[in-house]
Amino acid sequence: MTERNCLHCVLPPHMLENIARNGTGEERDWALRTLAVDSSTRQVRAERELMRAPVAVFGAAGPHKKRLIHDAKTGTTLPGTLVRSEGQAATGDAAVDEAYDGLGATFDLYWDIYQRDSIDNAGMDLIGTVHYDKKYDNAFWNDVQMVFGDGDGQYFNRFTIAIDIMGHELTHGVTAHQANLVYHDQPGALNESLSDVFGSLVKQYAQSPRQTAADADWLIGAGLFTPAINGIALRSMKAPGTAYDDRVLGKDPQPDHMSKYVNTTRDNGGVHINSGIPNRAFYLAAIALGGYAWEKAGKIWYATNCDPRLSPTASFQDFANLTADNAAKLFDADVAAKVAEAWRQVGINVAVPGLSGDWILHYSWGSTTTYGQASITFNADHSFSGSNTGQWRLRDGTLLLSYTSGPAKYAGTLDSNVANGEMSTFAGLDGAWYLTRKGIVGVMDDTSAGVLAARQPYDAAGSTW
Amino acid sequence: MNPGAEGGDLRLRFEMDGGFAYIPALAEPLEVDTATIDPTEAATLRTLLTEAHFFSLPARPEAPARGADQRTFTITATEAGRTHTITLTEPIRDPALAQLVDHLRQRQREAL
Repeated sequence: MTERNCLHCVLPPHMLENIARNGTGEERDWALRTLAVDSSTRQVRAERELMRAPVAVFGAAGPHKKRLIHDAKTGTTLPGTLVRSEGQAATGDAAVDEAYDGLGATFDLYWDIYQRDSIDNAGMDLIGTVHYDKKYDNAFWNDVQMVFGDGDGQYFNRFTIAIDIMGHELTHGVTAHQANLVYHDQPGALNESLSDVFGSLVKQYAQSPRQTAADADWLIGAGLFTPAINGIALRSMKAPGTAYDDRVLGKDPQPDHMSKYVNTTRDNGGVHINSGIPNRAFYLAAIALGGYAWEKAGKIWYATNCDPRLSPTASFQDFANLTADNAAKLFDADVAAKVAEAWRQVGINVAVPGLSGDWILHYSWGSTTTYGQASITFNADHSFSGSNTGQWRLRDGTLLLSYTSGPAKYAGTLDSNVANGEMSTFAGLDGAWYLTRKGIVGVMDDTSAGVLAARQPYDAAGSTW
Repeated sequence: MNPGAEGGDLRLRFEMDGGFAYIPALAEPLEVDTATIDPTEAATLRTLLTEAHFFSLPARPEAPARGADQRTFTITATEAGRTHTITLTEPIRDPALAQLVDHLRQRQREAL
């Protein structure tokens, strides 16, 4: 998990205002004093940097969950009339209650799993408006609140009908406070994808019983179409491009691979179209990692949204690289390899952090005492180069090497800490082989087959034993 | 020249983009030529343009709202040798512009 910043002296003014409005008596007094005395440009300049990393304002105070659902009564004035506040009973108006429940479930996922306190991680009120405009076929986030239309009734039902839509819109707020990905082309599609990812996780987390990655439907907006439409949902993260195929709406245009990337000026450069590619990468990673998707894949993607290295203009490649890196940091090289493999399957090659740099392969064919050495470098496109060339794969902790020339194929277990240059041992059928990071001085442990003397020193350059 | 004036041919192009439920087929641009439509509808379009002061507006009459999933509307009108294009992002604050977009949106839906 990305480290949280502990703030001792500087908070953005809006956070202070929020604390002044919603904090305990002591917190309010402090916030008001700070607001009064500190409106310096330093604070303004600091705001953006502070907003990029998760912050805990008052760790001991707990989360601030406050939903305020409004009714626009088919008008367009925002936020409209307040109809349900935090803790109040259901109203019987489906849109009001679905918005209340959906925003609550989204808040819970972010707090329970990622310890994020609302949209801004500082307890921002969750303001929602339903019954916006007449026959309104949309939902949006306007940097202050979430807005949901009733749909036209012809093609679309109400936009609160699927819980992931509330998760999607609220996550736009989270992203605005974190990576702040610009809303066009690839960074825009990543912005959209993050909203679909966490919208889907909200749906999986809110189910009773909770759903594993394997059990989830990975649909966005299931139930949003009226029966007049031939489609199961608006988007499918599992199979982008298959959510609908209808006489009026046409076919779902989402690509599932970089080879099908849609170059367009419409839709801000296809932000709702090309999001299919990172959506499927997340789905593949979640399936490969198993269990509940929010536990590993979700943590990696959330950490990446909060990662200060993620530029607002990040490309798919930039984002993919950081997910693999964060996977290695949060978990291990095996998880990172699975994340990299997920991206590879959608056409984006990511170097596995645990295998970066130059290595020495020590190999023995039928001999237990003499080892040859070969330099080897693992490339992002799953090729390796050096003394020989070939292809590598890392699956379920097993490193597979296949040489371009000759029949040699090696398989062995890769230690999760190999990136630190510690020993990893491999045993092929026709001999023994070992992989060590070049330049690392150490000792190699005895193997069970006794092919090496116990803890025999070796030359870091890999020239002699 | 007053775009509401009778007589001259007025051509309009309306594009809608984006939105949580962006579907290309529902966002097909609408093209209208007042010479080929019902005169009452032609007069309505001229009135809407006039009330919005369309040809006097800057290309971006309203500062684009921050946020995500808001739809964008681009309207181009050509009349008497002049062409003007404006782009709006919802929520549209000017009531006259909102009414113009609502009307064009409705026509676009009817054309599906």
